[in-house]
Amino acid sequence: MTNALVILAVVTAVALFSAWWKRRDGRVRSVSDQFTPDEIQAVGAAPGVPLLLEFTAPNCAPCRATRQVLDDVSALWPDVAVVAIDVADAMTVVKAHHVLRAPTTFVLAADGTVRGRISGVPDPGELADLLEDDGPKPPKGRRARVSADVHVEAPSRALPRWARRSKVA
Amino acid sequence: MSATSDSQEQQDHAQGMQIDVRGPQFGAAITFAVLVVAYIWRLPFLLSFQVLVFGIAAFAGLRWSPYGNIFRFLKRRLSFIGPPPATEPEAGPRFSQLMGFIFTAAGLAVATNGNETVGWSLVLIVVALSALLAFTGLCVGCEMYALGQRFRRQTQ
Repeated sequence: MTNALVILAVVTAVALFSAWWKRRDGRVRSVSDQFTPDEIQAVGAAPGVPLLLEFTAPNCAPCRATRQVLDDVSALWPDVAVVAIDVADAMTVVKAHHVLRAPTTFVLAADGTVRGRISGVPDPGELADLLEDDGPKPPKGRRARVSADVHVEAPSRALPRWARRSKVA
Repeated sequence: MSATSDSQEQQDHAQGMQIDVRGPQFGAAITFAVLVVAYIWRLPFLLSFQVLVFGIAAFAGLRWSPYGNIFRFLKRRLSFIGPPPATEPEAGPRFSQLMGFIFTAAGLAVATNGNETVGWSLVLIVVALSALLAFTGLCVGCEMYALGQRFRRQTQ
């Protein structure tokens, strides 16, 4: 009986952690942070343009899914640059901005201000909302097309159906 | 404009066998069930079986993983499972199998040599991590492997 209760406690703890993780993973977080022009150049981008910056790593299936999301979203905002860089190739920037996980995506305004930070595969709808609010304004009606066109083809890791967030409506 | 490239895919393929991303999650679900039964009824023989499964996957490769082969069998027989939504290099999941082997083998050794509490506590860690992978897809072993790779590249 005691052993079963221990298992129940472990499963409950895992369930709570899973719920917390699911709330955070892929969601845009507002942070107070700024990339300098030198840092933007260090990751291979040009300063002065809005930027979706993804930090990747080898053996990272979610990184490929993230790249697909970023490419899909940026196709609708051609003025927004997209850069993916291996964390090992930008250690100074990684340390300066406390990047602990791959994929981590930063949404940068043209002046380097961090408008949002995402750990895990980004939610396309939230990313589009952020770009609409802070980035170059898309032509009228584009928001509706984002909902229809943007989707993640490859889940970061196949979540059970009940745990998956609903795709962009 | 996009500066993304296919270098990551090329890197992944250069790093060995690609596996269906659902495979580790399926294996974790079976591992969780096996270890829960072993833990509740304190069954060393069942724990030994799991140690063997981890060992085969870790040392021989995921191609030989018993649970992986069950998953492949089911994929062939059950069409609704469908093709892989994505693939990943086996390195991270294989490392997590090695960690599972170490913890369960250590737990078995300790439990059968006098200290049941400590031994089965080690097994409980694997139960928790298997549950996490099975329910959420979060592979702690894979994350540790990625961190280790990053640290190794940093120090080179």
